[in-house]
Amino acid sequence: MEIVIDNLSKRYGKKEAIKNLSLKIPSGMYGLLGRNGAGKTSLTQILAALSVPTNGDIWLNGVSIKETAKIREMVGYLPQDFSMYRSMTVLGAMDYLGLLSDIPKEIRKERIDELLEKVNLKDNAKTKIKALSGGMKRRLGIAQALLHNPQILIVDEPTAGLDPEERIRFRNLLSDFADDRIVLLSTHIASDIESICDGVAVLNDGKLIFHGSTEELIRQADGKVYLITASKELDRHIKEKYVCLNMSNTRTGIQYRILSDTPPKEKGKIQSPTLEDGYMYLLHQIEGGVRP
Amino acid sequence: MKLYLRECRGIASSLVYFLFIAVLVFSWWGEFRGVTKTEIDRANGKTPANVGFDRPLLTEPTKEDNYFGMKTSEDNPEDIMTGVTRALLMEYKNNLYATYPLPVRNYKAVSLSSKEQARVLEILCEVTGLTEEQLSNLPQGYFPAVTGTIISTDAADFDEDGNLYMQSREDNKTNVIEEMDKTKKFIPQVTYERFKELMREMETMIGEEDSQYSTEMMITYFGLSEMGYEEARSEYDQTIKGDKVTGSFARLFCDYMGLSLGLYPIFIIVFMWLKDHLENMTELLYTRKVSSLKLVLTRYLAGITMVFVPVILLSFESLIPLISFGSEHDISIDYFSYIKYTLWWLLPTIMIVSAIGLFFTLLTDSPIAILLQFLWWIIDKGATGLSGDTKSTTLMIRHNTLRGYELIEDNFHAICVNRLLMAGISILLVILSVWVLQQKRKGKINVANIYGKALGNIKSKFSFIHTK
Repeated sequence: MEIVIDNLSKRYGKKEAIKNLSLKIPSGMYGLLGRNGAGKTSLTQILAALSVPTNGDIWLNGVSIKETAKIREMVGYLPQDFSMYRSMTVLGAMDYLGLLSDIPKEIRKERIDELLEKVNLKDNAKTKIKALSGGMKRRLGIAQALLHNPQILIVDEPTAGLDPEERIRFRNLLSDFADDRIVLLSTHIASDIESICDGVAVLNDGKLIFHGSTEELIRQADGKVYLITASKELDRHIKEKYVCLNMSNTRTGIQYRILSDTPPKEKGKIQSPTLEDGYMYLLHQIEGGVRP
Repeated sequence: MKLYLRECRGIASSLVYFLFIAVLVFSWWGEFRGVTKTEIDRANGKTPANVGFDRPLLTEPTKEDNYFGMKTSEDNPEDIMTGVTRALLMEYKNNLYATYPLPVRNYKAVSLSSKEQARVLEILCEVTGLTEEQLSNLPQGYFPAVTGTIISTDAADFDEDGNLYMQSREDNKTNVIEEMDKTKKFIPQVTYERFKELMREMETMIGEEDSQYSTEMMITYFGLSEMGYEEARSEYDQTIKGDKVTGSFARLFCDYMGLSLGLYPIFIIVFMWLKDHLENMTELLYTRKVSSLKLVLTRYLAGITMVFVPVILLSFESLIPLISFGSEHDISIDYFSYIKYTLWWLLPTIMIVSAIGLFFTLLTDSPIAILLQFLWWIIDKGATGLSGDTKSTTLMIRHNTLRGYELIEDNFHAICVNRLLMAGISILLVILSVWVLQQKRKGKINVANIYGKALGNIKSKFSFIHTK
């Protein structure tokens, strides 16, 4: 089971959203990382047959993206701006979407029960959509995307706007569904990918700048992450000199987590990198590097 | 089928549908409710108030009756010429000519130039055979008080007790025969054909349609005359045997319902499709397995059904008393008239209105279809006569009478062409809608992008002006 993207381009008028992208996505959880506007949503929309490529080909388990009817059967999609008819109940909305997916009544009922159970919304089956919290809506979004039992699940920025607890719950939920399918998680939040994805691709300005395992992306920043402490007076100087990943106030001054190709002149401790560090290092390499 | 029922349920539970039902019932209540009961009461010997000039439709006429009702026709051209000439003289004197132009048919007075006024005077002189001076000093009673549906108080006299005495057409005719003096009583000096020709010239001069000089309005205002036994008999036979009682009521019902159905269903259809967009559901819908054809067709049929159901239910208010009347008087009635008439008369109207709503909402993601339909509806309402005025592009077939089946017969070909054309255009719009939805699902038509670009262009123009 794999998605093969070959030399894909997508243009909206003069703007090129995706530039000659080639990528293979294996089964399991796969992350698509990039800034806002990097081309992630354009790619996920093409994969969900909601948009057509300007150039290039895509095959989903050997089926060309041009065969939209087949692709719609294979793909479950949770869009970035997910919403449902506000006046419908959870059960009503699921049933309606099930009808639109041509799922027979018996199977539909069984699957809706099963999915609502999995996403912990069974007790809210008769609750109206407008009464659900943001997290509940997102979980319902996953349930609706899996209703027709797709081989590929695409989720676009699913944790945006969720509180930390809901984010963790949501990530765990996604990884549960990745056992026998491809789950493509598109996000600009690196920590979402670090905890659940095996592979990751990074997009920047429509171009693929990295693809590989999450460990490989983390290793990009190996030996480049330092923890330094400086007085408040030097704050501006530190921020101008280094790529500052994080900062916190301590009794002795401000503690900075920085990226640097060479050990900083200020007294600092080398740190183990995270996926976010690797991602940030990669982005800054594209823009001229992090050497102070 | 399940999806269809689901869509019907969705419409039935929407606020827009409740409003549609409310407006439909309100219109029906004001226009048609009670018409059947009134006619049945009259046939049963009860005389309700405000029955107008008509003979009871469901009462068999006998030769002994002294009144057989009224009709509007060109049977008495002299009456028409009398009434029209009188109106023309009055308007000439004031130089204010009443017209009812499109699209809303509101009253509009037109004044003519002195050259045109001179021509009107020539026409008046030709029609009456009088000079300008004689026309300025017409004797009392020159025109009869009653001409067609117009009653003139300035031509009325008062008797010794001070009661109003109005000279009728019959009185006037007697006097004309006695006197034959064109200076004392109006005696047309031209043929009816020449008169109509002169009135067409008047219409051209006034420059607006539907003044009282159009043939249709001349007949409506001044062509009222009494029916005879044979005509009343023929009308009764048509009602009882031809229409099997219910037909004539079904036609009037369709006439009134058509006025509502020519506009209000658009709201249901537009909001049904706009809801997907407003509630951010489009991407979820577009990625489903359901084909565009199935989705469009199912929703279209559901919309039509939900508009049709209350119409059929409202027809029972008329049908049930007529069934009862038929069984009481041992008259065979057609139980399916309402269904038959609503299907071929109203369904194409519902189809075209729904198709316009569907197509333009899908194409633009906006409620523009409501505006377009409103414009068509208001123009059509103004441009179409109350009966027997069906053109190929008429939206709402009018037949605002329980009688006049011959108007339907005379116009039958035009009505069939019109209804088939409406149904055909509807099907074409549905096919185009399927194509639009297919393109939108593939991202080939992205209305948001088009609006965004247009907005961007406007903004850039304004910023250019600003920076200048």
